[in-house]
Amino acid sequence: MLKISSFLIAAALCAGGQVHAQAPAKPTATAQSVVAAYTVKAYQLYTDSLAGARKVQADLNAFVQNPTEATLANARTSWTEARKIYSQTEVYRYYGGPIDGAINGVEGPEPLINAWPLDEIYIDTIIARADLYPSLDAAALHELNEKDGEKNISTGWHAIEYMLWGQDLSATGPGARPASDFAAQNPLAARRAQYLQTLGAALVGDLEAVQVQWDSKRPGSYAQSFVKDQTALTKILTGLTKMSGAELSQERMFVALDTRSQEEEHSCFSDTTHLDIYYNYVGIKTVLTGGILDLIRAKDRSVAGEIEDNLQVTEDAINAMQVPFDQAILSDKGRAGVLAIISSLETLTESVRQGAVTIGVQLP
Amino acid sequence: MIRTLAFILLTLSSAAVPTAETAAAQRPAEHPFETPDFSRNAFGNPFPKLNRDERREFFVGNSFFKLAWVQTGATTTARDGLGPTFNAVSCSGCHLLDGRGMGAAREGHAHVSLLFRLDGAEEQYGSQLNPFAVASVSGEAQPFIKFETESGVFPDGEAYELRRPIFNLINWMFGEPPKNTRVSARVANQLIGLGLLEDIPAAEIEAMADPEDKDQDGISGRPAYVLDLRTGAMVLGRFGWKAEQPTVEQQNAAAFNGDMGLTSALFPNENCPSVQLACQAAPKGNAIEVDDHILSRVTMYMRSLAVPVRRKLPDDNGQKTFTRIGCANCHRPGYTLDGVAVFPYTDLLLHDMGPGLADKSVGGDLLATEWRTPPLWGVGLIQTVNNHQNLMHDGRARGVQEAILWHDGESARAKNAYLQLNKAERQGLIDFVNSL
Repeated sequence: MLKISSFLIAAALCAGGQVHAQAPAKPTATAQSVVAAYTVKAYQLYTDSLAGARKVQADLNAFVQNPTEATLANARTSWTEARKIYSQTEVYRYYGGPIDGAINGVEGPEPLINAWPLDEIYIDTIIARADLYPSLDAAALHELNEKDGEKNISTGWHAIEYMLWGQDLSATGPGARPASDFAAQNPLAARRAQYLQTLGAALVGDLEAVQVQWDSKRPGSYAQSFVKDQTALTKILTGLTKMSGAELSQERMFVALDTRSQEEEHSCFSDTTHLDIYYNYVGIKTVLTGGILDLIRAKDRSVAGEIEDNLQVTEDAINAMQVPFDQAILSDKGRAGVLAIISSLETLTESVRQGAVTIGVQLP
Repeated sequence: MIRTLAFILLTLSSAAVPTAETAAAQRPAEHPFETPDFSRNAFGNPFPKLNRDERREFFVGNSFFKLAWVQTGATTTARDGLGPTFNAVSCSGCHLLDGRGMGAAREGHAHVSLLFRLDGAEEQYGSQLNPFAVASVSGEAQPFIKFETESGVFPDGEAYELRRPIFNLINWMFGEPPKNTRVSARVANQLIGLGLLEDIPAAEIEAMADPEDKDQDGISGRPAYVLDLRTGAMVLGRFGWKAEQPTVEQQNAAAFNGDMGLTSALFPNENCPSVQLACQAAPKGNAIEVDDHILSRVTMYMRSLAVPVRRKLPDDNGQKTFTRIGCANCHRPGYTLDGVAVFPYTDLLLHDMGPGLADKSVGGDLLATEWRTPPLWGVGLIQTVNNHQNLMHDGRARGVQEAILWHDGESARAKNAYLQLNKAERQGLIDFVNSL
C-alpha cells in the first residue's frame, strides 16, 4: 500500500502538471453525494450506538437486581462493546451538530454523555450523602453535571465505567470493584443501584436525542438541513481534523504522555483507552473513505494518495501500541509507540487540511 | 520594509488609528497571531505560527485549562488539590470557550464567573471571596445581585437605560468583615492575545503615561507597578482589571490559587485563614498542586491563543468617529511586535473611570476608581462564543453602547462626545467596535 502510493507520488512528480489530466477515480462523487452519504452513515452509527446503550441499560438493570460477578462481567462486556461504536461517532463533533451544538435552544448532550476525566470522589459523595442529594433521578443528575457554569461530571459513559469497575489502582489490570458493592448487605447498595440505573436510562435518553436528529426522514431534523447546508463539507472536515489533530492526538494521548499521568487517559477505570483510540481512528477513516477522499482525488491525486498512506501508517501504529495505555506511557518502548501514533495523526491531519484546500474548503 | 517603517511611524505617532487598508497591507498571507475562525470556537485557536512541538504543549495547557480539578483523593492525581475553598473547579468554568463570563447578568445569586476581591478582611477571608468549598468545608459567604436602573435620553430623543448592580454579600461564615473592607467585583475576561500584550515593550506603555495630565487632555493614565514574583522586581502590571499582574504566568498562578485553591511555586500557600478551621484541616493535595511543568504548559497555552481576524466593514466611518471623539486616546489601536502589526486597542494604563464604576466598601463608601484600559479585540465575537455581550469589569453593560455610557472620570469627555453623535454615527461606532 505504502509502496504503491509512494510510486504514484514519484510518478506524479516526474509527470509534472500532467497529474491533473489523469481521470479521477470516481467521477460520480459530488459534494452533495458525499454529504448525503455522511449523513446516512452518521444516522447508522448513532442508531447502532443507541442499540448498544440500550443493551448496557438492560444489563445494568439485570446486574443491580441480581448483583453477582457474572452479571457484573456481563454489564462490563456490554459497556466495552457499546463504547466501540460510540467512539466511532466522535468524528461528528466540533461543528455544532446534534451532539454538541444547540438544537432548538437545547445544548447538545456531549458533556452529559462523554465528559472526562471524572471526579469519582464527587460521585461517591453524591451516593453517600442522601441528605445533600436526596434525588438520584436523571433530572437531578443532569443538573449536577453543570452547576451554573461549573462542570462536575456525574453522568455518562465514564460515570457508568466508574460504577462498574471502580478506581484502577492496579498496574496490570483495570479497576476491580466487587459485585458485593451492590449486594443488599452493603449500606450504600441501594443508592448505588439507583444511581447506576439512572445513569443507564440517561445515557439512552441523551443518545436518542442525538440519533433522531440524524434521521433524514424525520421532518425538521438536523439531517434534513445538513444535506442542504452550503457549509456542510467545511463542517465535516472541521469535525474530522479537530478529532484527529486536537482531541485524539493531543488531549487524549499527548497530554497523558507529557504528564506521565496514568489517569490522564480516556477510559481510566476499565483500561480500555486503547479501544477508544482505535475506534476514534475508525470513525475518522470512515468519513475520509466515505467520499471525502474521492473528492480530493478528483482534484489532486497525490494529496489523496498521501492521505491514504497516512491512514495506513496511523492504523499500523495503533495496532502496534502497547496495552494498556496507562502502562504504555510509562515505559520507553511504550512511549515511543504512543508518540508514533500522535505523530502519524498529526501528519494525517496536515494532509487532510491540504486536501481540504484542493476542494475549496477553508478550515479554521 | 518601507511599508513596515511607514506603519511603525503611523502607530507610534500620537497613537493614530491605522486604517483598515493599512492593517490589511501589513497582514502576511498567513498571519502568525490571527485566526480566521469566527465560530463559537473563535477564541480557542493556537497562533498559526506554532510548530508541532509548540502545538502539543498548547494542547496540554488547553486540557488543564478546560477540565475540572478535583478534590484530593480521586484517581486523577495530576488534577487533584481543588480548594478547600474555591470559586470554580476549572478555568473554563468561568472563561467558557476561552471567552468571557456573563458576570452580573441577572438578579439573585451571582454567576460563577463573577468573583469578589476583598481588601481589609484578610484575617477572616483572605483577599478573595470563595463561595464554594470541598465536601467537608463550607464556602465563605454568598454573593447576591440586585439592579438599580438609571435612564437617560440622547439629544435626538432616543432613550437608554443602564443597570447598576448592587452587590450584597451574605451568610459570612466567619463573621461580618470590617465595614471599611473594599469589595471589588471582577468578571472573567476573554483570553485571546495575552501573549501579545505581554510582549509590548514596557517603555512603550510608560511613554503614554501622563499621570499629572500635563497635556491637559483630561486623560492622565498611570502605569501600575507590581511585584514580579519570579524576579522580585517591581515591574509594569499588564493583566487583570486593575493591571495587578505583570506576566501571563503570574496571572495564571494567581488565578489557580485565588479562584481554585491550587498551589504552585509562585503561590505555595492555600487560602485558609487561621480562623477557618475546617479549611485548615481539610485534606490537601501535594505541597505544590500545579507543578512547574503543568503551569508552564497552561502559560504556553494562554500566551498562544490567537486573535480573530478583524471583520470587514463597508466603510471606515465608525473607525474615524472612534478616533475623533477620543476613544483611541486610551484604547490605543496598534503596536508592532517583531515587525508584525497587532491591534489590541489598549494602552494598558490605569485610568480614573469615575464614581459610577468605583469599588465600594462593605459599608457603602466609594473607593478605588481606577481601572486598566481593557483590550477591545474580540469584543464583537463574545456574543457568538458566549451567548451574551455583557461588558465592563462586572458585566453590567449589555453591549457596546451601554459600556460607552458607563465611561466617566478621565473618559467623560469622550463619553459626552458620544452622547452628541447622531444615531447613524453612534451605530457606526458600535459596529466598528464589534468588528474588532
